[in-house]
Amino acid sequence: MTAATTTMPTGAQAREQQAATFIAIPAGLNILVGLADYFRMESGIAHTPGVILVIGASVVIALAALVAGRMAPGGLRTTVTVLLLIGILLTGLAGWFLESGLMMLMMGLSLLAWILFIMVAR
Amino acid sequence: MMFSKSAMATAILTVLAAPAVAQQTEWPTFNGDLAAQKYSKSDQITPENVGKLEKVWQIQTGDVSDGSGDLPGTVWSATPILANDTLYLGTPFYRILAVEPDTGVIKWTYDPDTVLEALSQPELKNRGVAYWQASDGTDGACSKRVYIGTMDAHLHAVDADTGKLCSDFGDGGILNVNQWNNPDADFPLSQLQPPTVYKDTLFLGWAGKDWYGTKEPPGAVYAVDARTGERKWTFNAIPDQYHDTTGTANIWASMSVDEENGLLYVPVSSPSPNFYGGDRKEELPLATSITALNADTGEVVWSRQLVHHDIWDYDTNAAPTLVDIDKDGQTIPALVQTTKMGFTFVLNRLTGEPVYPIEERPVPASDVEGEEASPTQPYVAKPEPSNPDHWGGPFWLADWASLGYCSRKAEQHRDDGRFTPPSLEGSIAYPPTSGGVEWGGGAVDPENGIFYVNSSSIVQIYTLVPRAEYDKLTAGPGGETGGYSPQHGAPYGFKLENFLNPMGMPCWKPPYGEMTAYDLKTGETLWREPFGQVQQWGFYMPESWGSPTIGGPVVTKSGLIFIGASMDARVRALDAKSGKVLWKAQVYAPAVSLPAVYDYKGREYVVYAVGGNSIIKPQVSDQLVAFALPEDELDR
Repeated sequence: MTAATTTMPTGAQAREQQAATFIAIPAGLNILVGLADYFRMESGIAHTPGVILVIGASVVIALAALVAGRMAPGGLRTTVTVLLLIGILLTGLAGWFLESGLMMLMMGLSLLAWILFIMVAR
Repeated sequence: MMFSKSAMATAILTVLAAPAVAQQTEWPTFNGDLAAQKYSKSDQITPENVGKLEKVWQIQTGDVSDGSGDLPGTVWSATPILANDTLYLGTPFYRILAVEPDTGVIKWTYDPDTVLEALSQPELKNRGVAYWQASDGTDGACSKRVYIGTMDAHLHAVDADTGKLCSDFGDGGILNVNQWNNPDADFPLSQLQPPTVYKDTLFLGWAGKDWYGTKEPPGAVYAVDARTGERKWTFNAIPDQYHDTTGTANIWASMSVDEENGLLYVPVSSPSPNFYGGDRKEELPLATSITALNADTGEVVWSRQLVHHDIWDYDTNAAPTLVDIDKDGQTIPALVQTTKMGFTFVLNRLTGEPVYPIEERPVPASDVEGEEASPTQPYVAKPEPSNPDHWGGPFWLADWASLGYCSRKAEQHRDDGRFTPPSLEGSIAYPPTSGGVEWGGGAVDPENGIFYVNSSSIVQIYTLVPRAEYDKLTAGPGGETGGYSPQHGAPYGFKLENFLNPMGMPCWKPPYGEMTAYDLKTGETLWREPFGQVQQWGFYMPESWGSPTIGGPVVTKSGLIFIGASMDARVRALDAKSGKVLWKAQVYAPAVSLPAVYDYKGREYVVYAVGGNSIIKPQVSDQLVAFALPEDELDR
């Protein structure tokens, strides 16, 4: 009898995936914040290209984080990780210029998770 | 009826414990009163509690267009009027709304069923309505009326209680103001600014296209009977003999009235065409002036020209503020006239003589064939101009971001400072036609003689384009958009551009808008602060940069300045002592209107019509929003 085999992540891999998920969650929440600001007239940034930019960037950050968490160590993951940092910082800066405290908070949380990711990365 | 002692004591204590119960104050005219002081005696909202202001009601009228559909875009600059226990409002579709002042519930509406076309302006504009109450105390239908003008130059009079047309006014309740226009005029005498109402007379100016051609309708003010619409007198700013070579010099802004002396003050705009005066070299002393008329006869009592031979479109654009000033031991009946040039003229309102010196200073000559610019212009050094004499050169950030575009462009243009005439190579205009100070004008606290005014710092480029070249440039549909003015009949068309880099950044230095307080007793500047924030693509620029503004302030007895006006679609309350922002709220578009501040049933309200204006930002709205202190705050 041949047993079915599945590849279980190692402890290090699991920690990486978890940290990457922690990057993605605030980015995902930032999409919701952006959508709310886009449609809520009182936000002061409703229907503006700036909010669309933040929503788009947050989608990319969330996806990139999930991908990075599942990538094997190497040059490609390093590149994605650096791009993630740049994306988080610039999106946070955009939030600052949009005067959206929530957007800055979400990107702050993503930044903390990114630091965690670096610390646990193999 | 018996009251218990405790109930009586409670009632007395309630009254004694409520020192901030608002007095009953109305806001019955565009500027709050006929003196255009924009001053509210309301004192319930104070610098200490203004931070607690909350939105208590809002309505959206539905009368809005961004210009993308069949209708032109809308510009809504209406001041809501509080009179007759009702808030009256005009819309850019020229409807009247009568609203309950404390709830926003609509009592009635009136629809004039008028043409919604941009006949005399690029957009559908409205600055609200006017209210009249019979001075003889008569009662009954149409003894109280609300008036609204339309783009096609009709003035509608409706009963203030019911919204039904008053059939004894004009023709069945509608006065055709265009009956007094030239038969071959290029545009109607649009009634966008509500009439000024004094006793039983309405004073009507009009709006038109002063950029369109040389031969245009001459600027006029019509005094008409408030009941019948019958014309009492006409004031004309352009002498008859010049009607073939120029026109306009009209009064499109609001006016003010010295009720004690029976004087009507009219801010007269520039003659046509705006930017070339080679065909109108004659003296036109009433053009671009502030002029005092006898309100009963229309005769000129005095007039002071603020720009000679205006070729910059420096329309006198706001009602002068009338206030008595205590200066050097004397009480001076003064008039304060703000201007697009950034000069604040303080005059004796009975004589027109300056309270602070006005110099005639030499200014640059024109180098355009056919043009003869005035060799001197009036210059006011005190109060300090809101804008300096030169724009100050390119902003390093805009220049750096555009790889030196701003510097290169600046070198290509004529740049001789204030009053540089339009030229073929393009002249840097500072301040340009957009101000300086726009039509909102300033506000004054009559108790201390301090005058508050918002101003913009904008740089534009004025270019005259020879006729053949202009015709080629603007051939085809939509050719005369994008800042082109035809100036038909003149040898030059005209192009107006904002001085921006290719990324859309202003090439000039911030701040782009400021709020200033002047002590009229001394002429000194008390404070000057950046005001508002620039917003582009949703991103806010630093507060220290300020914002260009359209619309004006209201000052209250309690020491607050309420104002919208800025590009960032926020309304604010400032501390009148320092100019610091004490409160702000987000609204749906730039609130380019004067707010109305009134008390109703013991509560003070600040109401903004939020309409937007494409000049500062392509964002429109139909929001009418009221702010007040929370109910529980009133009981303290």
